[in-house]
Amino acid sequence: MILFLVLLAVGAEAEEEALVIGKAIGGDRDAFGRLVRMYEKRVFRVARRLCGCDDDAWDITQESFIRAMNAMDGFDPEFRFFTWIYRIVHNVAVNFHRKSSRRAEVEFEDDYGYSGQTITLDAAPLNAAAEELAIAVGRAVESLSDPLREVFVLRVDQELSYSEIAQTLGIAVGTVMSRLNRARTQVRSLLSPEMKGGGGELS
Amino acid sequence: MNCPESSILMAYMDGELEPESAASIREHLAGCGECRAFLETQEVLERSWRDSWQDPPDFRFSAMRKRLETRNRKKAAVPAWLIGVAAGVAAVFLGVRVFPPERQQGLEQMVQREIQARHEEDLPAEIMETAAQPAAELESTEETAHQETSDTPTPETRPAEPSTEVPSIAFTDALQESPSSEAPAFFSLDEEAAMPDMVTGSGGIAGSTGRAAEGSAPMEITLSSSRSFLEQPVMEPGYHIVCERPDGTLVPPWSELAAFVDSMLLVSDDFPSTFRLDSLGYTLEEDGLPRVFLGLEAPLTVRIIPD
Repeated sequence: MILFLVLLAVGAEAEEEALVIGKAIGGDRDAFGRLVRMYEKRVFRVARRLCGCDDDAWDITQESFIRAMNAMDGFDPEFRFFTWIYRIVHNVAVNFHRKSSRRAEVEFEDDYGYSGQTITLDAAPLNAAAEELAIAVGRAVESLSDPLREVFVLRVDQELSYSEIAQTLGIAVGTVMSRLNRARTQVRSLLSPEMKGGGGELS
Repeated sequence: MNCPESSILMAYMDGELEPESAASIREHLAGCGECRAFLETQEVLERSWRDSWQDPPDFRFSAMRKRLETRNRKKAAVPAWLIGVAAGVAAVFLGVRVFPPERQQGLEQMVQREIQARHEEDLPAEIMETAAQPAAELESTEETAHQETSDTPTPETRPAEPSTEVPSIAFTDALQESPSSEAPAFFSLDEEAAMPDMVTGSGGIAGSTGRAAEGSAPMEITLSSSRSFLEQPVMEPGYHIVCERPDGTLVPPWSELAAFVDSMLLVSDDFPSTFRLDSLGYTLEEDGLPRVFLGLEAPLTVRIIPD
């Protein structure tokens, strides 16, 4: 019964969203405003995760919505709105990144991967405060190269499926898998020495 | 024991494996502590990071929405749907009609590339990879601009916002179908007919500037956006353009310049309110906008002044 109600609620929500999107496509500014309310937190979150800086994330969020509003009539309702607006966020973020150029690229080897051998963290880090761990992971994620970080954020933070990520980024599912694997491997390899050394520089 | 590759383990953790593959991994995990620990560690790391997220306070979002509305009102001076279309318009005008033939590869090609790019599946990744390109490449000299190949990416002319529209083509068609635009119409055909040198592309902007300076009294032209051929209501752009020679004399702005400014204001927030046109074209203060090569005989300073 509860499941049924939940499904009903989800269905109603999707229906409402479709209605709002339809109006927004037709140029209804109020409808677009509602769309902003529906997605602003998610857009900000993904922008913040991508760029690693609050101020930039606000600018990226705002600019993305402006562009989305202006391009709304080109939105195909067959696609998920987040997938669509994420591409805008991506482009805006790339420009911000280009301007600031403050993130150093971290080199990685293409064939670097987990071979079934030992990449395990010490037990101690896992006992550390969750917050401390989250900060360390965050720093490691920030040090990833753009393509790797993006896939990592979409999967781990936004919990998109591989095929959704592939569709969003316009890449093959296999590419999603390999980038994600590289990203995760790299995060762990960056995390490990820091944990051991009690806070070494990651970047 | 043959442990699965990490990508397979991760895909299992993500619930992305087919049922049979998942079953075999489950079986493996039951007997392999190392792989279990590997996945468990991964889950803990990722969960801690994901759960550490805290939304900013609501007032920050409402402040952003207010800014959006303000921007929206400001931008509404120029029809919002023109974004992209306007970029195409400027590209068509500047690229086809204004550039000296040898320089036509600028915006026109960029627009073509954008159209092409929209058909390329791998666009985001491509953009990501080119994002690291040094700004210096866009700040190219005139000579390198001549040699510019279609590989040079230009961020603002290659937005990957999903869109099925091909603005420049739509615009050109509309233009051809409307031979009787009203007088103030900004991109009217009448105006075009009066400037045959512009159509051939051989005269360049200097010609039209000189001609405009001879024949007209007003030194400032308020832009009119009554693009009747686009079947949109007349809207005031909310600014006008002043062009100044080095000696301080004013030159009336011409339609292509205005179209260019109009479109750049639409697609970029960083477009400078004052820029310079010279033989090298308009000079960028910073990276992020396409360079436009106009080939003027005398440099002009262009000011965008809010009404």
